Amino acid sequence: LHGCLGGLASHERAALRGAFFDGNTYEDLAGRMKVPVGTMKSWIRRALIKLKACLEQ
Amino acid sequence: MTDTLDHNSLPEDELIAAEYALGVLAEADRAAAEARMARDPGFARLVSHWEERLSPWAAEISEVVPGPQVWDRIAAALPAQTHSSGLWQSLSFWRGFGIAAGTFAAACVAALIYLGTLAQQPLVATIEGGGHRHFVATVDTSRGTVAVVPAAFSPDATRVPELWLIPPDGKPRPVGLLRGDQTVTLTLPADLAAFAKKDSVLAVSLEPPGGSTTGLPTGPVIATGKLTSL
Repeated sequence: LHGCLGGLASHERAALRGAFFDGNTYEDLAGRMKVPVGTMKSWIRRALIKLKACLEQ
Repeated sequence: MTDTLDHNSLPEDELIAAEYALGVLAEADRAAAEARMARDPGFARLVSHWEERLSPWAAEISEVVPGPQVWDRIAAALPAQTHSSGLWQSLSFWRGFGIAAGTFAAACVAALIYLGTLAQQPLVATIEGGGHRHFVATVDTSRGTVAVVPAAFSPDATRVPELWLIPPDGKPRPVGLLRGDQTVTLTLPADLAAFAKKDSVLAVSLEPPGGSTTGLPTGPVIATGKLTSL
């Protein structure tokens, strides 16, 4: 997992960490990182897709 | 891995399962996902696979040197020992070791390895969710109790921490309310005690005072940890 996180863009990594460690929802994260909720959702989903692909290699 | 991944390269179900495991869904979506997990085993499996994928993260611990009171709490939470002088001698040894090692986790595990040789081997979980919310749980399988020591939990003004036991089926079972300022020892209901075994996961969510009334977490899951035998 840690190796795969390194392959993410830094904003994707920050968003995932904020969700996992701080219990933030999409709305919380969007507020914290000052982006629209839709943008946050696509960052996270993209990061999750990359993460799964990497973990399955 | 190239960067040409299609945004839709995972099925919607799988994305929702991942979002649920990550804890990023808003309350209504979260409740919908939980309802679906209850009636759709395939979806519940997707969620537990994602929980497994993310679980190494829970092992990430920010380095915290434990204060002396942490050791007292751990000792107080463990089953009564007849070898009390030996226990205390060893605690001071392990305290020194732990501080030298510089990590809270190493210290806890060291102390518990020793204590585990005195009593029936307990199951231990460090319940982690990032910098400032850590609990250490010790399950006494012979008594069916779980003692939960707050290490660096920051209390929330409006919500209380609730402990959940998540067996391999991925469905959280409520265990009881925790406190950020003192050790809490909870008795596991008989039907739950059977699930308190290696590789089950303990999780802590933030709930309204009195705890979740739905039987499932309603607030964010702020920390998780897998039970391990020492």
